Amino acid sequence: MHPLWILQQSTSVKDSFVSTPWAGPWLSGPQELTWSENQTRQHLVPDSRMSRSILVIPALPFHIMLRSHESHLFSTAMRTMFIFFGMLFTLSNAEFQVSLLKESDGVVTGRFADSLLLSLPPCALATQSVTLEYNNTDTNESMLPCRFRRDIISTIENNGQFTTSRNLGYQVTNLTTGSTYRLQYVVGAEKSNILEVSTRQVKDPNQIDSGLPARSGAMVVITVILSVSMFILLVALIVTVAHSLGGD
Amino acid sequence: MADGKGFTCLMVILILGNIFGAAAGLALCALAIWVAVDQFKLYPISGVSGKDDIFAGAWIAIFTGFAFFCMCVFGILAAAMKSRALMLTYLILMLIIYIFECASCITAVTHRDYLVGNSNLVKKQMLKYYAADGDSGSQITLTWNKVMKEVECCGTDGPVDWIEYNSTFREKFGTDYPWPTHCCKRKNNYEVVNVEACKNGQNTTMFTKGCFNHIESVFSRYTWAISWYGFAVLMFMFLLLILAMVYYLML
Repeated sequence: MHPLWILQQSTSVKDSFVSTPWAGPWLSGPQELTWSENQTRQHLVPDSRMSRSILVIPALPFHIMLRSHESHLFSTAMRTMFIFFGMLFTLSNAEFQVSLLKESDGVVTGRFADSLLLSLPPCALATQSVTLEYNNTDTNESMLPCRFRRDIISTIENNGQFTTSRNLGYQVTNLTTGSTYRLQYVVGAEKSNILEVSTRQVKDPNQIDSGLPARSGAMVVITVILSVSMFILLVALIVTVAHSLGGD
Repeated sequence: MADGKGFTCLMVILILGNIFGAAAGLALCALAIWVAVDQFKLYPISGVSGKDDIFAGAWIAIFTGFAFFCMCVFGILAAAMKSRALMLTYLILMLIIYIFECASCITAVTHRDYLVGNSNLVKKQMLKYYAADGDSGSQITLTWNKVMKEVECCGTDGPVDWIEYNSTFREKFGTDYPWPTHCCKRKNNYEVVNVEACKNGQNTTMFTKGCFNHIESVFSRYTWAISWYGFAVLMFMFLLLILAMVYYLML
């Protein structure tokens, strides 16, 4: 039998969030999650997005059965169940991702000269306290800053009826220009990956070469044709005057 | 020479050509006035850099355009009166005006290449002169503020220019504001929508496109007016002058 548990219990009696089967062995056939309530059969088809929830919070297993239409899966269920439990423990200590904010996240850039914009840890860890550890790879000093709420970058959209506030990321300030940092979130037992990124090196504007970049086609055409025509006219006028004077 | 049918035909062609040339010259004068007036108020960008011959070409074209108009009217007179002396005067004066107009076209298009061939000169000037003291500094600052507000853009190629390079602005005001507040979106009462969000660089509260496209298109528009239209007028005048010389030889 395939292990299954409820991830999160909402206050509503009707809603339950249930883990999906581990992707590998069970995706081959159609799955069906059924539960009996007043003799009615409910169906649920898991999709790929739901697999993320397995990684974060395991909860106690409940007695809800997963019946699969593929009968051959029952024979492999016991075999894969051990693998599944084994992976479960590694998954619970899995790394979540931290990255620099990019243009697709709604900011101009994530790298400034003296600060960096990082993505926030996933929503599932919301109420826990997070520490950010970073060190400057050049000077090897480590910093464990206190987290201030104002360093969180949030957008506030107000359309007159309601205001939505969304947290975009976290700004790490007081960094030195042009140096590389390694950053990592630590949430209780979980850590994120180590992000190695450098702040921008500010360049000297006098280094910009502002000489003539290239002569455009228009410039060459106009110059050549006009110069030639000027020359022709001058010669023609001289010849005309000479001819008329000579002719007289 | 012969007072035959070909001669009369040539005279008629000359008179018609001169009428058309007068109109073209007057149009050149008007177009050059439009360029000189500089409705987009971008002159300081070229003036401070020293490459302002787009506008010098415009001024020359005002005078040569009007001179073409006057000379073409004179040319109608000279052709109708069949006078050798008048035709010679016409030819020599037209050639002098022709040479000046050539100079205007060539210099306008060359300086346009210097200014907006690529974004380097405009970017360097912006970083150096924005928020600087002095006459150049104030002119550039006012021009850029106007452009950023009206065109809704920031920096030359983008806001990243302000943080990529050191600048007079950064030296004066520090790194608290990575870019000028004119890069931020404003409400109708000119108040910034969200200063903190603008400082962080959020797309929704600031302008993220660069101003160079607009600056380049304006200068190109001015240049094409002066140089390409001047070129067209000159090519027409070239043919007219060749015909006038033939007519002079027939007189």
